[in-house]
Amino acid sequence: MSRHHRVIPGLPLTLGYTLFYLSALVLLPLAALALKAGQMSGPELYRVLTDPVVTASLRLTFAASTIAALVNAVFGLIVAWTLVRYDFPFRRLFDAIIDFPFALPTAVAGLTFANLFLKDGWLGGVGGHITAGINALAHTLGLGAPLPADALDFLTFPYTGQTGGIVVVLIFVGLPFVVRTVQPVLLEWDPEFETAARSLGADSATIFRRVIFPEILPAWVSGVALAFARAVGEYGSVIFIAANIPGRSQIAPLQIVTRLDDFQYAQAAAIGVALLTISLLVLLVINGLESFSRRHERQA
Amino acid sequence: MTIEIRNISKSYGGERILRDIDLKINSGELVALLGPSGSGKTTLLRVIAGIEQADEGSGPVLFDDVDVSNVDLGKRRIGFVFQHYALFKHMNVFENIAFGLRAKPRRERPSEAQIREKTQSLLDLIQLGNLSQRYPSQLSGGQRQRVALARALAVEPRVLLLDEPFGALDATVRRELRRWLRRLHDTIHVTTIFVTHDQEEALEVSDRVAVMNAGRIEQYAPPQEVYEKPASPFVFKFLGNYNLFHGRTRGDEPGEALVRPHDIAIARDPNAAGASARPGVVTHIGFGGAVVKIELETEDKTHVDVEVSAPTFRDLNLKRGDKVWFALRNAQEYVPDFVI
Repeated sequence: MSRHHRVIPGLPLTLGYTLFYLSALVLLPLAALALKAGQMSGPELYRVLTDPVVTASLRLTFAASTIAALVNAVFGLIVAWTLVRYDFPFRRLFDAIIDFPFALPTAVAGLTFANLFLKDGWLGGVGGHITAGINALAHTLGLGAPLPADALDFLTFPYTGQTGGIVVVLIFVGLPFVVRTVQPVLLEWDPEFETAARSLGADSATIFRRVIFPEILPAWVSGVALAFARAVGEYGSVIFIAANIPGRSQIAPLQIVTRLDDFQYAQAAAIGVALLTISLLVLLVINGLESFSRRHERQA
Repeated sequence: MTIEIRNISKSYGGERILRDIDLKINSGELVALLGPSGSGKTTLLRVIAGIEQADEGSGPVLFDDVDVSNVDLGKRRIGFVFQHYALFKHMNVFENIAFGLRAKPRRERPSEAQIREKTQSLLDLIQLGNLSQRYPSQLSGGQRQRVALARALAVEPRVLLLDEPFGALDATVRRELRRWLRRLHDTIHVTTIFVTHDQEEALEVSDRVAVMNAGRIEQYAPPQEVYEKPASPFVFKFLGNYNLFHGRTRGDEPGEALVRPHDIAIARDPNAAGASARPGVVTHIGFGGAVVKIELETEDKTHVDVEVSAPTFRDLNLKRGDKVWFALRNAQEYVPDFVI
């Protein structure tokens, strides 16, 4: 189709440029990575990839990324919906804040979150703070210290050093993707479709489920995929909040860095290839979902 | 079902779109709301549907003498066909038509077999049985129009409301489809209101036409009456081509007379043209098939459009520059309405 309506002339030139661009920036480095990993013998490669520390790090990376992407899927959709559908004070400001995770260096984000959730941080030590406050108040009233120091520790956010903390920062870095992919679709949405569904007797839940959601599904799915991919590759923020204990709270990118520090370049490359392969498979599945949800756009 | 609206007004941001509209539609009638864009016809349709609310202080919208002004759009049991159809893009034809049936609350919802049967019968009605698996993007404009109509009919509405139903179609399809709509209406007899800016469409299809202008109904009458006895200069001018003659009425008031181009007799002989024939010179001849359009210029440099049938034109054997006589056969005189 597009062949008959060329906006930019010179198909060979543009195609050639595209292929060169992709090759130089994506394919070549990937091939180099695979080649590097290929320097190891088969058994050696197997030993690296089945190392419990490595498998644990891969599991953590993909589990945390999946959870973060799913959380963003739900809340990103709600945020996008709210920003488009409702008018409220400072809406534009909130809209601008969405892009913050894009702009903020992720190391800074990690540091901020770590400070919040550390045992003596604002949120991390909330139980301790309240206990201390009550005890201090009781003390000035001459009642001694009625509460043991760990009385409210169940309120303390168990994020730091654990998977929870990693998920929180991954949600943070992935937040803009779902919002920014779904938002334009909602903005262009013609309310006439809703009126039509309403005139046919559909209630709000039915209208959302059967009329609106299928329309935003492709964008939503690709937003989730982007958030997931971003989370898998995230390094800077995670290492600040995670305890980074090998085999327990180390993400795969950190494993790679660790191997590089030990001058084990081939091993690092092998873990990289494993990370890449799994990501690619996940993205392929998501892509399949997306094109399935776009099937009605095909022309006869 | 009868529809009656009383004293309906509607404003948007201080601009009055509808001004005190009264309208009564009999059960099973097919009514056209005809008017130029901005005359308020679509707004009126949407108020009847319940998509828009009339202003505070407006009268009721009565369906079978029951006030439905506060009944929600979804509960009014109307079938609305949107100007751009608003077909659900990700649903095929079948699912689009079945939407209203599937959306019913569980206890009212027909069984799957009943839904299939009903949808299939509607597909047959709109003659698209073989395209049930197509998506809207794979249909032509006329086909989409019919699917939109079937989707609206699936919930067995008490009234069918169509907003510019043929507006987005090309001329041939328009003509075909409006005859089809008339036949369909004669089969199912559901009270129908449609909005159009095309006077030919309104006159050909409807039982009665409500001609609207600037938020008011100027005339509400059967097509023949609207055409032959236009209630106001606006209606006259809107319904077709016209010649405007300024003059004095019998009471010697300044007035204007409106004459359709085909209501002017033309002849080479002053006596044959009729009483009070006036001279003119042929300045242009436009062939339009069955009708030939002749432009005349009178002595006082007024342009007069005349339409004659092709056989008449052949008998006249006119050329540009010929001198002829013309007489007004059927002029409508109005004292201008100075109130705006």
